[in-house]
Amino acid sequence: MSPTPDSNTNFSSAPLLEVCGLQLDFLKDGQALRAVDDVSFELKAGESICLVGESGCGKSVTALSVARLVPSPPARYVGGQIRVNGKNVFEMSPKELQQIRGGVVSYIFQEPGASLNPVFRVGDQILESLKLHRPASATREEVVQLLKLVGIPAPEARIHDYPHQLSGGMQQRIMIAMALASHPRLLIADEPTTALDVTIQAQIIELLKDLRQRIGMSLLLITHNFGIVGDLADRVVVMYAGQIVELAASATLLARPLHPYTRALMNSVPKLGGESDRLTAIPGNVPNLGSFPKGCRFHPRCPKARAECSESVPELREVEPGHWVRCPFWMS
Amino acid sequence: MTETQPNTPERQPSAPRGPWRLFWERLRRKKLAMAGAWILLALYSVSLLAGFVAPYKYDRIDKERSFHPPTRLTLQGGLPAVYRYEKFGEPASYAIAEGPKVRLRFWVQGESYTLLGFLPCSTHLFGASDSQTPLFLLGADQFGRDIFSRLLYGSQISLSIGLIGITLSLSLGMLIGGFAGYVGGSSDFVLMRLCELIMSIPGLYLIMALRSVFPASISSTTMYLVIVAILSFIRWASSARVIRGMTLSLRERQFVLAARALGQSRLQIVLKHILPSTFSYVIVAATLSVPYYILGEVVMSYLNVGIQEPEASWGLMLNAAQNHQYVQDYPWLLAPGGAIFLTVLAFNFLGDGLRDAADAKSS
Repeated sequence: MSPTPDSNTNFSSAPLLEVCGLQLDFLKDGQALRAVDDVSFELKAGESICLVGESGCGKSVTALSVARLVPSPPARYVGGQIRVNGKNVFEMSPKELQQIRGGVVSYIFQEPGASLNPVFRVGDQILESLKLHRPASATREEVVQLLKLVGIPAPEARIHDYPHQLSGGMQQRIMIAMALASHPRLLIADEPTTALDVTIQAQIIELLKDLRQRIGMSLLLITHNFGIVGDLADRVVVMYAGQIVELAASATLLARPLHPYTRALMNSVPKLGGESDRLTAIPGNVPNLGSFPKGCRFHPRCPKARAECSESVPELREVEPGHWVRCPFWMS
Repeated sequence: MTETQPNTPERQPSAPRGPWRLFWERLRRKKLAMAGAWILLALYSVSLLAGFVAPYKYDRIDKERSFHPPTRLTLQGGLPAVYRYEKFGEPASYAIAEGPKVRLRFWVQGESYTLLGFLPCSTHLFGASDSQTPLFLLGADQFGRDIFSRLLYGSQISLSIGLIGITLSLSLGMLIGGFAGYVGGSSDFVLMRLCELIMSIPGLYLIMALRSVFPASISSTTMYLVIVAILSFIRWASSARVIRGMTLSLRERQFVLAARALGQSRLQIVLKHILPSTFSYVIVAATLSVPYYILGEVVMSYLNVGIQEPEASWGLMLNAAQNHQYVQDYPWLLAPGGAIFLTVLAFNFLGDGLRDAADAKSS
């Protein structure tokens, strides 16, 4: 029962990435805390998906699991599968995993400054990525080409710089260049703009959009910013407390969010141009791991909660073709 | 320190200054550290050219001149010269002889030796113009061997033992500490308990115990290697523990995650991303623990389980100064102690400076 994209979308055949019923625990003080609970979605070649949710919803852990990058221990995979190119990553040898990492799936992270090794020149770091996955083109010229591709001015000079000499936006461009160096088929961007200021955010989003069209790779973008969802995503996965609460094509979801959590998230985004109401915040916080409420995990914060909500766990159901919601009262 | 580069016009104001460059600029401002560095540079250069600088070979015996005092230098007609000495009685005592002094010559021909270990050569930096007159700059020992020459030959052992020992023990410590810290789990547990085991045995007993593993009399080259191996074996554990601690914190850094996400293997990540970040510690630790090896060799040779006669090492030479009567009558036997003191002090000054320079926050 894994949710699939609309049948009329014209993405090429087999899914590049399939996440099926992923369950992941963190072991803490002998206790198993469920961080990701039965998450399923798939991503076709060329498609782009946004994972949306507050901090602590399991978005990053899900994304890191794709290349099995969550260190275990403390993490433990309890169930489910993740298939990249049809192959289960949990059954891969370390060698195969190294091929997948960077080769098929590349990552960029939230803080570019922390993701670059401070003691090496940026050119050498990109070269390292080339050496790993495309040794034949591990040349200075190729590095310069990559820097041009991600829009870095005067690339010949910049390759000799150390990370601390570059601005945050430039550092993120370097990270993107490094991620693209291996010609990955899927780029996973974990909140790539959160640490950057607003104008730079827009530039990076623009760059990702442009690159996606030019290179034709898939994109799995993690964000808690609905502003960039419409810009970049074909489909949106909304997560809350380790579960998917809503999944739909981005246009559908932005026009008609069904789950109360999605609506609340969207209401908390400031709108430009419209009437300037007070922003509505979602009361309370994401529950901590291990202390999820009974029943629907969102019900303590839900404006529409009913008595039944605290009793039975709602199922993720396809209420319209391609639109999945984990709330039985989505109609109201 | 003397060469200040003029700012050439084509030099860009924002020329990339890497971590090493910044490190060097901070170090250059530390006077004591630079003094230490220059002293060490001088000591090591002389040590490399020991055969050339020393007037005699380390094993040249002159039985007639046992415990000859240091030859006094003087000037004769504006040129350096040495006094001649006369010998009295038994046990011998020496006094400056009347009459003409003997010129000191430079680039003199003397006993043949091999320069740098492969160049056969017989030219010495200096020597007395009259080969019958002894030239004992720091006096002679019981067998009439020139202490200055032996000091130079001995420095080849005493000074190099520190560098080789450091290289061995730190590479071992970095590899094991980096591996234990990065991989974690049971291998970490086992390796760290092993380190603690080694560290919990008092050093001197461990030296004696390890020494007894090897045959009592072995060739001097083998002995040299055995000393280095024993001292490094004792020492790697403490650096492994520190490196492991640093690795534990470094592996949580995001650039390590990024390197994993790029598909690098464990070994590559430890070697390329984790260990380079520990270099600032490693360089300081290396400099500060070179004296340990120098003193370790001294201790082993002093206890007669190290370098054997007639080879020269600073520890072995100090061994000859054990007898307090000797020290009273022939204080020049303590010259190797002065050399050890100077070297250890220079290393400590340099190490302190390196530590301050490595810690960017201090300045």
